[in-house]
Amino acid sequence: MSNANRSHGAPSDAATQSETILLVDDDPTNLQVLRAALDGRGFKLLMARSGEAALKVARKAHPELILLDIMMPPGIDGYETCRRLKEDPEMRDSAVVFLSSLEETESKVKGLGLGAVDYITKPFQIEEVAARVDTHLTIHRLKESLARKNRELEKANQFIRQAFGRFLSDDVVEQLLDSPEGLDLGGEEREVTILMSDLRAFTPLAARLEPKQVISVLNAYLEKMVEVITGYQGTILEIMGDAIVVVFGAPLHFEDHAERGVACALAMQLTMPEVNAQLEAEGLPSLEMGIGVHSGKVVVGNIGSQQRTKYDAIGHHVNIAGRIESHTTGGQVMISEDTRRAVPSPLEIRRELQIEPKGLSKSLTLLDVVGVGAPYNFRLPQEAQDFAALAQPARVGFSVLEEKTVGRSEFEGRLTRLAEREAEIEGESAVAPLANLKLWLVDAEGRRLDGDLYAKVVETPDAVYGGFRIRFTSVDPPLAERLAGLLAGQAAS
Amino acid sequence: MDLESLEGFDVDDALHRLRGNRGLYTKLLHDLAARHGGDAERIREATLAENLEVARQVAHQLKGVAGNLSASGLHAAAAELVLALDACGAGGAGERARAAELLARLEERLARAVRAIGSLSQGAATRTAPAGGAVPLDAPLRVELAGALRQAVELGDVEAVESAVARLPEGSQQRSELQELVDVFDFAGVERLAAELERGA
Repeated sequence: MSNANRSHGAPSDAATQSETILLVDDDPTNLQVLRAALDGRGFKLLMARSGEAALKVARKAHPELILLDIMMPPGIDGYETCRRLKEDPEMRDSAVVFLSSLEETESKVKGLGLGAVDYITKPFQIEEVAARVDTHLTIHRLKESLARKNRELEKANQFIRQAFGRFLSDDVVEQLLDSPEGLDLGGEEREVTILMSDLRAFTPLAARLEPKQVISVLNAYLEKMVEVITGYQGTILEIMGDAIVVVFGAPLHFEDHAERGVACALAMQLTMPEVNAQLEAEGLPSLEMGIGVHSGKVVVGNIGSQQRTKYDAIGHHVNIAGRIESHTTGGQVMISEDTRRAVPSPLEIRRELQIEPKGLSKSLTLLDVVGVGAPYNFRLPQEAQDFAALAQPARVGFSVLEEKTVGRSEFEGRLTRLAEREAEIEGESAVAPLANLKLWLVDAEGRRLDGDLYAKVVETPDAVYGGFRIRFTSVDPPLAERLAGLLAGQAAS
Repeated sequence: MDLESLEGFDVDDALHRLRGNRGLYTKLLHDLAARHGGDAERIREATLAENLEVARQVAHQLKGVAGNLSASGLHAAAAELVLALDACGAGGAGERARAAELLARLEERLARAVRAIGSLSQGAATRTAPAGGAVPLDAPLRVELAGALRQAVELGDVEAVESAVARLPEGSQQRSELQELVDVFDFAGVERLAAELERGA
């Protein structure tokens, strides 16, 4: 509102309707004059004739503005009143303007030094008082508005901390809060790297454990993994049971998102022995994890309803990352060609293989990464499998798993060579590399023995004649004992 | 005598400050005469008693009121006296003589102002003495009004006090006494009368 409008009497906007001004002067004549000057302008006018009375009124009424006389004998003077007002968190928001016939500069300086916003000398000019009141109420309104916005911002920041804090490193959360562009969490297309990890054969393992043990195993595993992931500033989009979905490069942009993703995947695998040592100490079974990493453009942003919102990544590259992960065995990190191209550091690739993922029109090259060069310099320990040739090959039957379903066709083969976690099978049927199998042992009379064994085909050197190498992903305890017995027998012989 | 002929006052300036409220100005002038007419004497007594602080406070308050009511000459005399009294604190005989001289000038100007105010017609500002004496009120009304007065006084809300007072019978002693207290923003007095009202005293 302009000062001209204010000085002509009637209130001119709704904002001032409820604004309260406390007039403080020990002389009733001065109060009357001041009241007459400000009356009818849309303010709520309150009066006090001493500093003590002013403090009582201010505490109850929280006026926006206090016009305060200085000399008010015999009680506390205006300076002391102002000091107490500014000291009290409940009252300090009221703007104080001294209104006094003390004209000396030092009086003004003292008043302003105590936290007053202005100083008007008596006898005042009505236009001057109106203009200054108007100005200070405007400033007060702006301050209130700023304080309100700060509270809203703090609330929003708290929301972001709660929403992301569990899954983002502290410095990423702080960067998000510090940069306005980082707070723009609306949908946008981004070049990112997606990491998906999953425990191998966790479902049958969980079925053999007590519910509390399942939770203990998962918590021990996830706690370590989340720590590693946040260390690489990955954003955890999802934890579904034993599976973790992580994105690098969103919401905060990182040029080296692919390198971070690969390094993080290797670091996760390198942390697994620590997880397993902890589980072993608690009498719990050890775990194996496979990780798939892929880079590409996805849509990232907040997705959901007003009640429930979640930061997520969408797009077929997310699905590809999932496909890659499903082709891994325990201890492996598989990445796509796209990710390899985006990583400037040298990568140590154990082998490459082509797959024909469902839903994709072209084949996909997967790279089995075992190491990354500077600045990370990580290398997965090479697991040497000591194979023993079985003098008497064991009869096995198997089915190929399609997705999570066991195929109807059953095949026969002979387990000819065996290691702690791997085996070689000869048979008549060819299987695809990385196929998931369900196997069982068959005794001399052709009877199927109790217990199932799950494995992934890791090598098919003799595809024509059906020879292939498998890596066990889950072995039922009775079968595990039998296989251990077979291996021990060969070793002893 | 009417306001415009009032000697020693810049009536236009004062009326501008009071947004043209002539009735209020007349009332405040009479209040000045009633409350501050003896200020020069009070300052003299305090000075003689070596109580320069009180002398200064009285002069300062008179300066403020005189300024607000546009008694230009009186305001200037009070302002000079305040400065002279300040100088007396650390000064000697010369400063005291100067203060005495300025006090005499203030006394003369104050007397002239009071005389001028006395010659004014009282007009609408004068409150007539209550004709009805204390009017008996129903207990629920007394309790309600006392509560409203107390609440308004706690907040320094003169408008709310005036609204409560206006509900008392016109011409009643209670109303008149309360109004006088409200006029001078004597909230402690209003609270005291509210308690009496509640008790039916």
